[in-house]
This record gives sequence, C-alpha cells and structure tokens, in this order.
Amino acid sequence: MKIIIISTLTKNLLFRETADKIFDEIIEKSSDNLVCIDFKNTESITRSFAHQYMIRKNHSKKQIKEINIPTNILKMFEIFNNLKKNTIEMKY
Amino acid sequence: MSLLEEYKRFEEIYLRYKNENKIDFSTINFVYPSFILPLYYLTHGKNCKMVPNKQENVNSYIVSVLGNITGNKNNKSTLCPITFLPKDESLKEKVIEKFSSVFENGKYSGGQNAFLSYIGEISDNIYQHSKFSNAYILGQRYPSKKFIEICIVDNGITIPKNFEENKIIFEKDYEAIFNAINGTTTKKDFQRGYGLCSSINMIVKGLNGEFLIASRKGVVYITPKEIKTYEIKMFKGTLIAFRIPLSEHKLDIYKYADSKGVQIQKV
Repeated sequence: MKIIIISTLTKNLLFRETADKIFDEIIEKSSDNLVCIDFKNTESITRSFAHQYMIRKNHSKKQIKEINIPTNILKMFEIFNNLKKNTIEMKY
Repeated sequence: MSLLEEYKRFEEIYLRYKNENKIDFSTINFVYPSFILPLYYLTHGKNCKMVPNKQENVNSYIVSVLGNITGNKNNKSTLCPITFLPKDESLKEKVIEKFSSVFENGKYSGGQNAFLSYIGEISDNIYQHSKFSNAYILGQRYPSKKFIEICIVDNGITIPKNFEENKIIFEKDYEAIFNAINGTTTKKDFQRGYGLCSSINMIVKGLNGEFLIASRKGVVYITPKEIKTYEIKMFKGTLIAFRIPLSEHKLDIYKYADSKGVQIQKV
C-alpha cells in the first residue's frame, strides 16, 4: 500500500485539475494496486474538486482508500455518494 | 449603489472612452472593483487621456489600484490589488490563498470553508471553460460600508460563444448565461454544471449578497429577491462580480453544494 499525503500537495482542494493531477501524476503512476490517500491537515474543498476526485476514483483500476478525512471535507465528498463506505477512518 | 448600478456606471464611462478616447473620472465619487477592474482590463496599455476627479482622495485611490498590479498587498490594507490568475496550475492555489488572506480567510464572509469554496469554484469555472489568456481578480473589504466586493474578469471565449461552439441553442446572450448558472454545461460528466449555481446560492441565498455576470452581450444580475437579465452592447470576455455583507455567520455550504439551479425567482 502506498500512502499519499495530500496536504503536502495542497491543503485547499479547489480545482478539478488538482484532482486530475493527483490521479495522473501519482496514483496511476504508482506500482501499488492499493493506494491510500491521507487527507490529514487538508482545510477546504470545492464541489468541483470533490466531483472530479469521485469521477477519477470510479474510473481508476486501482483500489483507493481514504484516511483522516476532516469532517468538512468528508461532507462534501458525501454529496457525491458512496465515499463514506469506502473510508477506513474518517476522523483525526 | 448596487452592483448593477456600478456595472452600468462602468459601461457608461467605457462607452465614452470608446467614442472620445478619454477616461473621464470627473464625476466619479467612489469606485468599486466592479467598476475599476473592467476599466483597467479593457483600457490598460492603450493610449488615452484621463480626466481626473476633483477629489484628490478619489484620484489617489484610482492610482493606487491601477498602479499596483503586482498582486502584492500592504498587510494592513483592505484592498487586494489587481492580481493575475496564473495559467500555471501549480501557482493558482497560492494566488487564491493569498487573495483569501485579505478577507481574513472569509471570517466575515461566510467562514473559511465557504469563502474558499465559492472563490475556488468561480475560479475553477474560468479555468475549465473560458480558454483565457488573461484573467484578473480584484477585491476589497469595506469595514465602514460593511461588505466585501470581489470582481474577476477574463478575456476568454465567453459563455455564449462557448455554448455556440458546442451547439447549445439559445436566443439572447443573457439566456445563455441564465442557462449556464442553472446547470446547462458543455461538459458531459454526470452532475457537472452546478458549481457556479452552488456558489451563487451560497453568496446570494446563504449570505444575502448580490451577484452579477456579464458575458459578451448579456448580463445576469441576482439578488436575494430576484434575477434580472439585460442585453448590453458588448463585454469582451466575462466579468463576474459579487458583494457580500459582512457578518460572522458561518455558512453551511453543504446545503448549497448539490443545488440544481439558482434558487431565486426570475423577473
């Protein structure tokens, strides 16, 4: 399992392109099939980022798990359905 | 003076500039971002006369806004100077975060979560759709008037032109804008097209603000009570401006994030 600390890239998840970048440049290039995204210390999120993240996650062949999602970030993801049930740990 | 009146005042001064090749500030007593940013965007680098205002403080304010396009702000200032939205994606978050700091990270305009959400959403919309080569943002907090105003302009293809290129049918340009803020999109993914309307609902419905979009020959103006649409002569690009009354109320952004249309009655 590879763990990606998302807040080292950006603490504010604002743009669709940023979600694409996380997938194109990190997740899809990883040799691991199971990739863990650590959302610790992320502070804010837009609807667009959450939507693009979910689209890319649903299209990815990798198994992607999220950990340490702050409540405010999780609530936005929940709008785009089933992130919650795939989450290992929701709070930090 | 409302956001719409401010836009109309910009348009009047700009049309006079087009006819007489001079920018006449003589009758202007106060300028807001929605007036000065489009004027800067459409006239900078062009050789024209300036008619100054009789009040020195108005002139010095205009000079301070127009003279500082570095994006650097004085730490005590309530003005975030004209700032380029960078094409380089690695820089754009930093620009928005810096911009946010002038507004105390949204402390008096919905809270940090809300502020970054609507400003990020509106900026992302420009990056996603407009194909701009130049885009600028300007904002100011007015502690005594008790509101913030933010204006963003870009020289991209405009909302009506984008719809035309994607064969989305409309009659008037303001209809294209109205449809865009109500979910019509050129993108095909499920649930796309609602980012702008969720931001408008946050600003207008949630924070009791005003919101204005001008794109090519159309204007849509939204207040908590109504949506108004207008035909205009021409705006070369797209302008988005909004005002939010200062308040410490923290907005529940999730109430608006799955909006499927602007929740205001059209008149």
